[in-house]
Amino acid sequence: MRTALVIAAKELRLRVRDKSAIVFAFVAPLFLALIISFAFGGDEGFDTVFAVANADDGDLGNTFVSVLERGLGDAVEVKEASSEAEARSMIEKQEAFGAFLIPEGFTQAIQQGAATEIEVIRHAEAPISGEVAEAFAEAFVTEVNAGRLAVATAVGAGALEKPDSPGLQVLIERSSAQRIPIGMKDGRIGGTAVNSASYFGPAMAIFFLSFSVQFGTTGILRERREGTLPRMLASPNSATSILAGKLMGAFALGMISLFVMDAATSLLLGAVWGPVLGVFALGAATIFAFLGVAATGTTFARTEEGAQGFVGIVMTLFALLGGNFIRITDAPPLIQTLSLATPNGWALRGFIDLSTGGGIGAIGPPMIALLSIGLVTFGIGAARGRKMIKR
Amino acid sequence: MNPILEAKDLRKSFGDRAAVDGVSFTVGESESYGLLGPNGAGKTTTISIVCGLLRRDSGDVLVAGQPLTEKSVKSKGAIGYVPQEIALYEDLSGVENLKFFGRLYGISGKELDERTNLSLELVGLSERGRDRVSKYSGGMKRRLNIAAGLLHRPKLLILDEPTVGVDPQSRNAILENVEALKGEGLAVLYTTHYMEEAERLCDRVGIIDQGKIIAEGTRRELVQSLAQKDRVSITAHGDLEKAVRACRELDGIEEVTHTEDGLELLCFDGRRLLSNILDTVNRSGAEVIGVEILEPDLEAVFLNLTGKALRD
Repeated sequence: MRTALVIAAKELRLRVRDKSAIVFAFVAPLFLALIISFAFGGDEGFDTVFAVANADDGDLGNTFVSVLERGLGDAVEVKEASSEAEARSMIEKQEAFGAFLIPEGFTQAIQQGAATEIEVIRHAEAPISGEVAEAFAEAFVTEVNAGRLAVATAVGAGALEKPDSPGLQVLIERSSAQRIPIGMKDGRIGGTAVNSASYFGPAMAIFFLSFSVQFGTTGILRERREGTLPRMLASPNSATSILAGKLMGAFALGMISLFVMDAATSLLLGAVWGPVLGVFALGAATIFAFLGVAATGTTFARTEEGAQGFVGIVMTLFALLGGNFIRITDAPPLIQTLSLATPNGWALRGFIDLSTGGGIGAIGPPMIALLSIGLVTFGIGAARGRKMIKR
Repeated sequence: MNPILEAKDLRKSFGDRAAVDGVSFTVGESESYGLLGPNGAGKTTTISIVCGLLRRDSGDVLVAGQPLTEKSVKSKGAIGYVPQEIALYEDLSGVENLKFFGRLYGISGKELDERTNLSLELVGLSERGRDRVSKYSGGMKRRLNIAAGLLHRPKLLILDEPTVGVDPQSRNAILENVEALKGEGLAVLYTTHYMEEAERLCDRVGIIDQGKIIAEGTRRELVQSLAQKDRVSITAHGDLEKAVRACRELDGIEEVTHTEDGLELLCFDGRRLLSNILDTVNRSGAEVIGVEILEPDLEAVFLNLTGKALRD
């Protein structure tokens, strides 16, 4: 253990003095997280799809649908759902990003002054669509409340007989201010919402972690070429403790990089990373998985440059599939499925769970997946790596 | 003399090629042993096996009486290894490099500080110890490379071609360092393809070619095995004819000729006979001005044994 710590300390010292490592571990991820968060968090072009399940047999339900279709122009496509279940299914499949459920007897309930409501269902990871749906429903409800109540009150007060009565005008105004019991119910489907900074902060940290930790494994080839590895192996220490030291150095650099990103994006962008212990555990599992992948990749190369190239391609592929550059919920279903084969995909799911208040208990599945990836790849890497170190 | 290193029948093949083919040798306490051979002869492979860096196919290595295995701690700790490459971290200072390698041998604290300073002093780098290695000249790096192998005070220092690619001045400094260490009683195993280095530094030499030690002994023993004569050239004034006649009577002298400015003798072991020769020439009434002995060297031994030059 002492040997491993000595080597890990040396690794960290070398990395701190290596400008490219600093750029990879700290500068680049922060810079990209800033840019992407600003890009996706600002005024981007908006269009969406809403589902409507209209169970009402009166006029008001149909009016709602027709106003929805016309009122929001080309930005909104409206799909009719035959039932509440179908509307929910469309949200889950991301065929729609908001849904309106108009209950049976909606019109009749309003006419009779009974309680009723339009339920709005939002997709958790399409917050803007959700806001638009909610605003539209609220506007409709307000309009119906005001108009119908005023008319009903006026008619009830004999407005048809004395249309110019000043008392009638006061009554109309008072009545307009009252609301008949029609309401809105808000629901969410598809996990929990996370803002751009809370998504792309961890996303960029994970992406660059996958590169910064590979110094620990590809560096073995450089040390072998430069003779420092043989010199270490000639000392009275086991090859295992020497390798452990190199990996510990990479691990420590990765953890420091992760927490610097956590602090920086929280302060600068308002990102929410969740509890420190959870970030630590998930970060550790993520780095473990990346180190395993990098270790295996390194054993397929003869030179450090070859290893960096090969591992770099694999890590970039993982990042593309895993959701480091686009929100995974915006990706096609195939990519969403493939993301589960990458450490990046699991790590991001875990960080989103932490960010949205899932707590440490919520990161169990990502932790298990990441540790499994790490164990398998380390197993392959260790079996192949023994030949690489001692021929 | 107790052996500090015993290598017995070492064998190592890469595919069909036998890189080391039954190599055996011993290095005694305070002895310097040279492995002399051309590039690709098997020197580095042999050293890598001895240091535990390479798995041997068969054979045994004993260091200070302890068998060297993959997990040897005691035997590895007795070796100071100086690889052919400059095995240092360019982004660390000389002091940081030495301390790092010292810690790998379990040295720490004040003792580590003291040994670091002493090692730097030994190789003449005390004033540059705080500089990063990337700022050092090639020769300075080579010297620090040696210092890193000495810090833990090994019983046996193994140097693998430490002067390859070094300018003459630095090369001389390195050889002086090794001579000084030898003088302090450290056992040295030195590989080289430079005949002069082996002759200058090594008490005994093993000549290695194609993975086998083809001859072994002191320089004198190896040269004598050639059965080639030394040529002793004497520059002198006076009665040279009388000197020639007198020298022909000496034991061990094979041939004496009169030259333009002196005489030339062919004999075995010219150095041993030299005082007798000079005494005889002086007594013959000639005044000796200069003497030169041309002996067969290890290059000639190698040529004789393999039919090729060391640098082929």
